[in-house]
Amino acid sequence: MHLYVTSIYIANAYQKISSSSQRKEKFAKACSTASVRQLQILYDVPTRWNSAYTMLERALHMRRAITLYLTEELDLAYLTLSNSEWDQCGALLTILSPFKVESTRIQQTERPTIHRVYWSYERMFNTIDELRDDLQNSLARGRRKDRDWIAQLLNAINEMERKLKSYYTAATQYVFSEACLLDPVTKTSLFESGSFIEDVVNWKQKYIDAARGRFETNYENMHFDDMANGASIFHAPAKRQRNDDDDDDDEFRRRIIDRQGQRLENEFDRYMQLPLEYDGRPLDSWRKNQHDFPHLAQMFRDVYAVPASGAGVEREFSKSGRVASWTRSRLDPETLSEIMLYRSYLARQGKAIEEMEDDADGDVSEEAEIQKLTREFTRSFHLLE
Amino acid sequence: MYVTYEFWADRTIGITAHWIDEKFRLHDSLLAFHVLEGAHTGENLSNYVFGTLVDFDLCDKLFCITTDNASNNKTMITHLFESIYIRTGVQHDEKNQHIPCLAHVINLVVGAFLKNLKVTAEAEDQGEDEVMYQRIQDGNEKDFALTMLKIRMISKVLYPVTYKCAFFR
Repeated sequence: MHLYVTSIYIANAYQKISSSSQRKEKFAKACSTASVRQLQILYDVPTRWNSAYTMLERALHMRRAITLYLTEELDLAYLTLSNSEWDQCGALLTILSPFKVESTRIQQTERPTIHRVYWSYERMFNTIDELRDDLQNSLARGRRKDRDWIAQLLNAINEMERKLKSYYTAATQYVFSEACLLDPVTKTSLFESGSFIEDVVNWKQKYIDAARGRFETNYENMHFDDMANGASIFHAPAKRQRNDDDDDDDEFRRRIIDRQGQRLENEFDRYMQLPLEYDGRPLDSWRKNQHDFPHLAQMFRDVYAVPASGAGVEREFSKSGRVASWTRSRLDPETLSEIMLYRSYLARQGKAIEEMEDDADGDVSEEAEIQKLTREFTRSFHLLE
Repeated sequence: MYVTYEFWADRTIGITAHWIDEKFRLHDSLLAFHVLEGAHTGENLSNYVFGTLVDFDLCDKLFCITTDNASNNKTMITHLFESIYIRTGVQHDEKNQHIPCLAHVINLVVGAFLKNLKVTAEAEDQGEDEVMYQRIQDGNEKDFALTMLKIRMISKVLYPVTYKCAFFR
């Protein structure tokens, strides 16, 4: 694996550069002399996300220690960075950091992320605009010798914007806009600002119409008997003891509500007319609102289950790296797959693998897991007739 | 119900399911983790995903699917939606129900930026160490690629020794 080379040779100087323990000791000493907290140096690998960022971040953090260290290692002296070069690193870090933040934000799996997608794009475009303004300013006023690399950065930022635009124009999936509309804190506010109103297309109206259309075709005529949870909402009151007067009253009220219902717009329009909520997480506020908008709540449940990134799977891959460790490199693929499913099952039970080591063998549990999941799906799921 | 799917490191494929239950809690769960056999064509990949959906009886419950932007995933989706249609009659719309992973998009966008500056790790690894040394000796400090090259080499020297598992090689 070439990414994990532990030593490199400078053939020209006929001297071996290796990351020996002596070097590390020296570096640790340099850190304490420069009173810099020694952090793990990170290396940039193409397959790991944000690794260029983290590498730069660590290096800049230990800048003084690195400079000191390089004065002591004569064979590495040619790697010493000038002040201008450190400035370049700083500039690069400043540019990368907003993207790192966006990337981290979108990769969480505990909470829904789908409603953040368009916001995320919007923020990235704004970031690019701001960075470009800053760079153009410093290009005009900066020192002559810095202009070259500032021009390089500008060039690269334009390239980045071009790429982002190409992905953004392809991101027309309806779940993105629907998720924004179904967030009670924002609803249409994103589409009333920035690039959305500068465009000739009335995006706000377009998205509202599309979402209403999908609601009407897929959810509005859904019968509550079809909904696993519908039963509990609508039949629960029947359990209560009532006298006849109340029943009459209920009947009367229901008729009024029915008539009102015909006059009022559908749930979607009713929801859109409500004022924005001041605060609140989408899941919490929909838990509260589900009785007012029973059909729309189903649409919410479908749309918000969609994660914006494949981070959940990525995480499983890194876990698999720990399962198929150095000492278990000849693990059978089948076994690996079973271990992974078993671990996932245990995680759902809230147990760590260590606690279960003496338990029944993996096959049984996997079977149980499949059965349990299937049960859960059939109970909690309904959609898209 | 929602399925994400990802294909990784030329060898393994992971499939997770995501859904919100009636109490409005978000769930995610690993459905399958396969080590791939055979060619990595879209068709072959779709068989793995479809097989998993059949195992869990989820064919008619799939809403959207998230993948990265690799081209074989596009054909994978086409085949998958076709298989689902044949089995259950449920039609999916590729344009709307195939979600590109945003984290991948951000990564590619940042990658485009770094590539333009010629400071990516890929660009480095192609060069011989001797060439790198020569470049640093000859270069002037106005060059970005050179600065990053230095940082990278410093990091390389001070990077802890790691053994990567032979399994994923």
